[in-house]
Amino acid sequence: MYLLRILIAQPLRLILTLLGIALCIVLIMFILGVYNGVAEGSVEYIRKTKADLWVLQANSNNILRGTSLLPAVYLEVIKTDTMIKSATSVLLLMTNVKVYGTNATVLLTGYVPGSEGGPPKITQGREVINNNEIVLDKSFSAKYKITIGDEILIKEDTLKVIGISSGTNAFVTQYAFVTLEYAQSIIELPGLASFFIINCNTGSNLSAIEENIKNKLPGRFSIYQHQKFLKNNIAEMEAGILPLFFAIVVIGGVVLAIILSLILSVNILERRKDFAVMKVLGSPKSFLYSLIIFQSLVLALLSELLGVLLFFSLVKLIENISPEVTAIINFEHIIYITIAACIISLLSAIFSCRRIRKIYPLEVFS
Amino acid sequence: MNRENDNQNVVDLKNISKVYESNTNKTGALTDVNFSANKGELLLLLGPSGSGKTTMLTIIAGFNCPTSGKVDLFGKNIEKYSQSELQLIRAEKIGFIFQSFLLIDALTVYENVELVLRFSKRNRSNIKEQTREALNKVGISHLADKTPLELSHGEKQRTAIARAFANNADLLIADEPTASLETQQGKEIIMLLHSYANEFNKCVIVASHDLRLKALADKIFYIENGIITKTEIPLRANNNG
Repeated sequence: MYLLRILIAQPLRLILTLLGIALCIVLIMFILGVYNGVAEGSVEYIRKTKADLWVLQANSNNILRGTSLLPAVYLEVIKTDTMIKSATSVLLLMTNVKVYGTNATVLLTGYVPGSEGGPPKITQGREVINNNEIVLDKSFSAKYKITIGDEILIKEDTLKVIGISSGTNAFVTQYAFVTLEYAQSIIELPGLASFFIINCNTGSNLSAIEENIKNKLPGRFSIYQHQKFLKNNIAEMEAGILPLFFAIVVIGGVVLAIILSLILSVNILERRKDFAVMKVLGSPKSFLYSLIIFQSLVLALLSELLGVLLFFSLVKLIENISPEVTAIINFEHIIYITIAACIISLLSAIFSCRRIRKIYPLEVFS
Repeated sequence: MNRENDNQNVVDLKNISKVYESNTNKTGALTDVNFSANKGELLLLLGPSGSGKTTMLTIIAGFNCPTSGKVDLFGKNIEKYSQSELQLIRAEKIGFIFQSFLLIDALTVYENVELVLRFSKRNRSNIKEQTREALNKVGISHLADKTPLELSHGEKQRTAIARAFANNADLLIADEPTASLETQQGKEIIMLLHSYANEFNKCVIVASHDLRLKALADKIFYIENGIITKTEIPLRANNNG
């Protein structure tokens, strides 16, 4: 009761405190959400592509932060293995496109229509069939206000937007899908691919097929089974952004702890007389400490609630302003953040409780 | 513990001296003080400001250590109590009243009185019952839901007394309880303390410079410059005895 009375005694301070802590929580949630969005968007293309084997240029192990170039004729050699059901080429190019006079960059993905290597999910329209067609990422099209039927320019070519895809936002860039033939024509190297996607007959020994391919053209390929290749790309993505996000989350956590400690310490100092009186009246230390700990937990949990509400509003706003920023937070993440906020609030309370030890009962005697 | 409770002697100070030391000088607050308080007595420490009354109270309650001498509290040398035992004794057997009331403004009158009972090991129903009883004893049941900020000085002091009565304390320590009050309010407070000592067989020690208190004290200790200069048992108290 004492605790609640103290908290509501100064409503403006309570609101500002809750808002301050809530914003720290929003920052942490936002960074975590963006990380989840990047993690999903960066590798969703790989995850959703049906492939038993990914064949890349020797010494390449991912497509996110590495270059792989292969002569398309190698695919014909690979295809001769009878255990291979299908094999197709994909060419990735970081390409400049012109949208209503504005330059933008996309990760242009050339694939053979009807084969693997296309968009993981089409949310509007259809896949490409012809060389003058393009499928754009959802957030890219939202950012540039492109709808189906619009036209964009690559070099001197006009391409018609015939589909919108999701799971193709890699944060720093977005995938765009065209025919392999068109992608090759841009760089004027018709026989070039970035990687081959191989699917084998049911029950095939993938390791044996992998060996066969390597033996046919020794030293030319890096070959990965699907899960391994997915793992490589996730690791590459994490190595690139995780330390940065982790640093921001840690800073958010530290700021949260400092705000809480300051608020609790100020409260203790302001209520110094009350604490001294309680000590005179025979309050056990545990009672006084529990007041601070409970206060800290109440502040953290109320702020968490406010933070969650603010977060979803903020995400909507940010996604409207910058559609390429995708923040994904689910219930499980909220639970983790709540636990983290509780731990931080406990640590702050323990830190602040030291001040109570320095309040002496003699202070109340005149 | 039971044997201690049965003992009529509540406080016994023997040859107590207290010297406050700082880097540059030493200040004697009490010199060779002998003092004894029993159940059923209202004792008055009478002296001007800075005479050592409050120092004596803080030594009795175990908040301050004497430089020399021996303090017995409830029949046991105070040094033999652990800190947690002293805390429990304060919560269960000692009540405090201050000049500036020292109520907690964030709490209601009821909660202020109830708070002290939470510090001792009592069950909830007992706490409720004792809180109401204490409020009734000092006639402020109707103020239970008010906060100290809404009370007059007299009502605040009554709340502080209810808080001190709540745990049915064997020893009540009052530091200048009437100093902030008008004459009539002061008289009422003195009567409450007197009846607590006499009717309920409790020990009340009052430090004050208010001469009005002499009329109801069972024993008066005149204190000046840290020395008890005179001990007086008023005629009325003699007759009662």
